[in-house]
Amino acid sequence: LILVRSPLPRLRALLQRCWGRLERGLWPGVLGGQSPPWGPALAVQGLALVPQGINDAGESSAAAPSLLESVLWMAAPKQRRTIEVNRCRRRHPSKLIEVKRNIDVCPECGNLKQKHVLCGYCYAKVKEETRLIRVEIRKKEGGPFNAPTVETVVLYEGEKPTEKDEGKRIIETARKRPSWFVQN
Amino acid sequence: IESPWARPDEMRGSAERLIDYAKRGDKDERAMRMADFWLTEKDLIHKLFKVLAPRFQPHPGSYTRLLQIPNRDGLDRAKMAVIELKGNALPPLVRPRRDSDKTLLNQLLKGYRQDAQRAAAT
Repeated sequence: LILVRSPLPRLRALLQRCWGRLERGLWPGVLGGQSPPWGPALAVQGLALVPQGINDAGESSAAAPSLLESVLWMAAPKQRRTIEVNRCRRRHPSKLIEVKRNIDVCPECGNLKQKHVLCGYCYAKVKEETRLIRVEIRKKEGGPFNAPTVETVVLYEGEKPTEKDEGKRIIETARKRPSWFVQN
Repeated sequence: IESPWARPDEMRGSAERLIDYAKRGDKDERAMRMADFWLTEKDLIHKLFKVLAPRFQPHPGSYTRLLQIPNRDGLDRAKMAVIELKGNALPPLVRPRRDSDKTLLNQLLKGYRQDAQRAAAT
């Protein structure tokens, strides 16, 4: 507006009067895009037209962001959900834990187990026994990179190697043979 | 070997392929190169060719056993599995159960066998 020099003096006077009105906030609808009855804009007239001032005014006075003209701020439930509705939602079959029907009794120890999974108790027994045998193997081998080139056989207390265990390396333990470990 | 289920499942295929290579024979150049590349512990190559290959020579495939274990006890409750080579010297993980003698089918078979013996005796 300031750079316009060529128009006639009357036009220039008109423009100056308009600009004066905008400065004083009497004509707020042009720049800010806010409707005239909006209270806070009228209350903070001096700052209303400077662009940074618009943002500050919006945040300090009204809770709504100055970019939006709408009244509502965030979504919120209007009514309390009744206990019947809540029950329907919470007890829907998709939200409940599924009933497992594949639980059986282990024939060896009598603990419960899933049909396609090993029994936990029996597996723990086997794991412990394997660990002890591995300790014996480690003692026999001595160090790393000593894997034998023959088969292995495990003999418990008081057992003799049979003719089938001819060329095998023998691991001996001073323990009783468990009932579930059958010697072949 | 006990581990989360995904690793033994993947390892099973590679292990069986390696044993198939080893079954070709000790003198096979390709088999020896494969074993040398994949097995970093060189004493295990000797074990593979001298122990595992003869052990599995009669079997056409499936040299390993993969079984599921109850979920891990830690916070993650991971699905665990145990993998072992068949025919190993360690204690067996699962005892194969035979059907009891008192089932209907077994009783019928027993009766049939007795009839056949009586007919053969007379």
